[in-house]
Amino acid sequence: MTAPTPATRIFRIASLVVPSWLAWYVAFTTTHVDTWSSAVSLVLGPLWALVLVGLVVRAVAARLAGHASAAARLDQIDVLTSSGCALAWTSSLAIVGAVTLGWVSLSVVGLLGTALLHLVILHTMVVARPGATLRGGALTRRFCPATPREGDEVVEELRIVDVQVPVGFRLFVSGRVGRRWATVRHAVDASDAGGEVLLESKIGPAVRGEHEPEPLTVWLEDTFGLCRAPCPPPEAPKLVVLPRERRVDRAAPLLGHGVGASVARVTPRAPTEGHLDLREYREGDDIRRVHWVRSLVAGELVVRVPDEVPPDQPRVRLVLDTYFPEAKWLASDAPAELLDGLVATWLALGRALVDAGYRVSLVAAAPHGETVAPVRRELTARAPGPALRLGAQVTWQGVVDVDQLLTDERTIVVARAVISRADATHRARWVLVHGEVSDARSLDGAPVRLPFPAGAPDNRVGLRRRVSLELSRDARDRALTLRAARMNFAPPPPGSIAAYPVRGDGLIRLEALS
Amino acid sequence: MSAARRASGAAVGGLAGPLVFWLLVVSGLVGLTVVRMGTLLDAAGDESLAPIWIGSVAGVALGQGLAWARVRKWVLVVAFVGASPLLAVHLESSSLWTLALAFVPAVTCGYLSLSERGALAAFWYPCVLWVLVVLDGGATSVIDASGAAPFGVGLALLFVGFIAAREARRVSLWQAHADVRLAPVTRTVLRARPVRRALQVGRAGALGLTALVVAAWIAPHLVQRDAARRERTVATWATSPYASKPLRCCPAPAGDADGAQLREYFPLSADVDARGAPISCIQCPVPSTGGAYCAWYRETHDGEVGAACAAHPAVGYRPTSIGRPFSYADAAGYGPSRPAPVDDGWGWGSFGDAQGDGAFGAGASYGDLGLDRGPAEAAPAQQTAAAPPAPDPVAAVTPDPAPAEVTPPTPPAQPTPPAPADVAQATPAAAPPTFTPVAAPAPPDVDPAPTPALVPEPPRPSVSISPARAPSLWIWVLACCGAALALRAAWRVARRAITLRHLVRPYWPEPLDQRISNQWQRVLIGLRDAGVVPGRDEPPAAFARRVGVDGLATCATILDRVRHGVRVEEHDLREMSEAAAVAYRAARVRAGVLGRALGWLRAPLA
Repeated sequence: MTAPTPATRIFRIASLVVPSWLAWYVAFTTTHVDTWSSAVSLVLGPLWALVLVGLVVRAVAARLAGHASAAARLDQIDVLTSSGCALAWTSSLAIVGAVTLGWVSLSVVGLLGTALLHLVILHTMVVARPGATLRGGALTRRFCPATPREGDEVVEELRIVDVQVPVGFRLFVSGRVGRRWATVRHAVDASDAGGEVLLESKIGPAVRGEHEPEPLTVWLEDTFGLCRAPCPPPEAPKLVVLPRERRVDRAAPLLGHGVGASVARVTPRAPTEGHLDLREYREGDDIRRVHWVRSLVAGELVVRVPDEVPPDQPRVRLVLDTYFPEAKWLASDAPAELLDGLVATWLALGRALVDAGYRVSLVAAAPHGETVAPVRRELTARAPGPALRLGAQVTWQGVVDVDQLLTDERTIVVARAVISRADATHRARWVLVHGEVSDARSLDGAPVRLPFPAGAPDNRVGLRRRVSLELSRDARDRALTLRAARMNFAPPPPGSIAAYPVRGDGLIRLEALS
Repeated sequence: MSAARRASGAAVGGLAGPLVFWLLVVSGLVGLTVVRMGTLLDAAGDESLAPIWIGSVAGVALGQGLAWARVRKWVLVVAFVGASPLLAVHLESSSLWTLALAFVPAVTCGYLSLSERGALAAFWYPCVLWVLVVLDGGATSVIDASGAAPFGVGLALLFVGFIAAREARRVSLWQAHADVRLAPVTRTVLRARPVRRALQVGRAGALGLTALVVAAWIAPHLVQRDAARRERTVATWATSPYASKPLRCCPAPAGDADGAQLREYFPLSADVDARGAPISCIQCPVPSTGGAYCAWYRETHDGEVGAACAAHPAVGYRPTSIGRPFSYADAAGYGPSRPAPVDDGWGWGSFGDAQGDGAFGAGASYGDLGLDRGPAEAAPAQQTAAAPPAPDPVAAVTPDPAPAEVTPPTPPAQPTPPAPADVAQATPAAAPPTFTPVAAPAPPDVDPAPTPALVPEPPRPSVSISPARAPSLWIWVLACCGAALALRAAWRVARRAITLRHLVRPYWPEPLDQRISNQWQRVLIGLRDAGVVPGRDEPPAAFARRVGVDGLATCATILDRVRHGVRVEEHDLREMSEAAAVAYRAARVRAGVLGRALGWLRAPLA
């Protein structure tokens, strides 16, 4: 939920008193009825005075409570909603109209609205005190499963236990885990709160990464929608979503070529090949190793045992290039989706190399405390956990470029483009990932029709304007991302490969770059 | 890809708000029809009711339809702006004009009833209808508090209900529609407090009634004018074209800034006669000297001025079933048990500022225009009574065609105003006033020499200005509503008792496993009274552990055996019945007194 602008806050606070004063100023200067003025002073005057006193008390209490920010202090007196502001001004206009035109209906409308608004404001100031809602109760937030895989359905559970929602109010909860997650919106009546309520939301599919969930926005709002009071949000645990393991379509383009003479090649050898020793047959020996001639001579089975010097398992460093300093300035999901494709390709290649008999070391620049540093993990077929965890940790960063990750070891670099010095590109083999990104979002609605049913809060003009700006910025940054993703600083060296990860669980296709 | 996604688990919109709005409008229309029932039965009829009905229903339907179709507000504004010249040119008929008067605000308010922030503005049009019900039943200068109380309470409660229903709809739309992807949500209430729901309703009702008290106290004073100006009139006498007989002057026009009448968007019934035309009378100009008299005067609500309003069918006062014009006969104490003297039925009085010095006087006369029968009881503010001046000759006036049932009386030959000792002579205007006759009623036919026995008593100011009402109809309506609610409550109590009896001892033979399941349902009903419900797909054993009520674990164990197909015997049923009784009692104790009472009225049971 976006925070209100300072102008909006000031307008809402002013709407607590200005419309009423305006209406009664017009009424007092126009009419001249003693009994009316006494009725106003006996009834509405105390209401206004109580509202003013309540505002002052709340402002002083906020200051004494030591609220750090001005926004937190303003929350104590910014009690009106947009509907409440509209009702305040409408009732004020109705009273002015009643005085001017003399219509009884306008006076009834204006006075009913004014009276109801002031009573609700007073009720809110009395019962909806800061922090009072959760005293003796608990609002907990957790995710199921606790450590999901990418693409899994994640359920966010909010458990409300013995939370004291004042009579005549509802408890609203709104928020999301992060930018690429679904938003949850809950409304709990006072009749349901006070006991135990379980709110479940399917916020999946899970998005790869280590997520610090955004704090939920929790507030009380009365059943007429006129006043609100903020509440402290619940804490949430970190949510780690591991990348999903995928497969490459064909590993041959990657494995069939070498980089220089140091590339190990697996030489196929038959059981009868090699330098051989002779011994008697033991149960379990390969029958093809029986030396029949010597067996006839010896009168017993004799097998040839070759020298079992196992060939050395080739090693390879699989480097993930996450150097993209511009990513943090781009207000689009495209960079994150590109990185998901990179990580999926990186892990899939590692898996393919492990299956082919290689010893694979995964290397990437990952957050290490407050900084970013190269991290190395060994990938094995039976214990992929540490590698998957590293895959969940990596994000775009602007500290460690790929040249710092290259060594003399055999290296394969998985990158969005060749972001390296030209003289260093030959030190590794490049796999350039051409990932897919989501289409740009469009704004619903037409000039004549509202985007949502009449009465929906998301139809507001200000909100629509903000969303339109966000979408245009998103589209612009998406285009920038796609352009930057293909920008090679140096030409891909010979032997480079293009990878095409299809979104979902599809195979990753590899093609040699010409 | 669309930017707006709908959450599948959330409800889309709510119908309560629009339905409450329809209830407001239709009940106001029905009330208005009942109030003006008398004119419907007249030969002339009330030509304004049908246009108001048609305009209101069609307008609200169109407005809400446009809102359902998500048409933007500017489309409505452009449509109205474009259609207004057409309306102004072509709506010459009063019925069509009334139809337009009803249709335009009905469309606007019907549209706003579904908007997010236009609830109070939308409430205005139904409020107009309800206010008409109140005002049409009484005099046009005051609001009768006792007669308006039931309407006020109903209006306030419906207002609060409408605002609450609109907010509930807004919340459901907020949960279902957004520009971002919304997560489907499910809510499981594992434990609740049933009493709080009743407190919610009570709080809303209390706020509504408090707001009503404030509004009822202040509203009349907001629109009524200064008390001193209320009694000032600016009519004068004029003569008929047929003879030098005076004719009644019209009362102060409704549009007069100093007028004492309450006003509303639609014209009130007392402002028009049976044909919807202005009251038939002579429209007299406002004299510049201030020495003006009016042909009628009214008694204030607090009885400051002891005078009576002259009334005669010939001049177009329209009787209604709820309220009827106040007649001099009533003021003089005449009624069904004491019939008025046989005369033309005319009564008139004078009240005005004879000297132009702010001192008002009052005089009463009965049965004869211009004959002063005696001074009325003057209010403390009034010092002298003034006699009407000699009528001036005027131009020809078209006589007003009187209703068939009315015998136009003949006027006296020559009005001879008396000269009581305490009556100051009026200073006639320097020049004959010019005037525009609206319609000339036939002058009353009076006995020029009434007998002393016919001399009426002076009007008594204690006569209530509020005409007789027909409260019995509304009391019957309220009684029927109360009876319906009581019947509904009684049915719920009976249903619960019958159901519980069947669950404990079935009315017809049932197999063992079904009877065990019945006992479990009985326990669930008791736990529901305490606000405890099982979660979605929650196993009975886990539910029993969570709730922790005596006997519940035993019931859950036996129920699990039944659900898994394990054979059960009679002793299992006995054990289940005993444990269920213990659990039910424990749950009811946990519910508390109020929870137990509310449980008898709850639906569904579990």
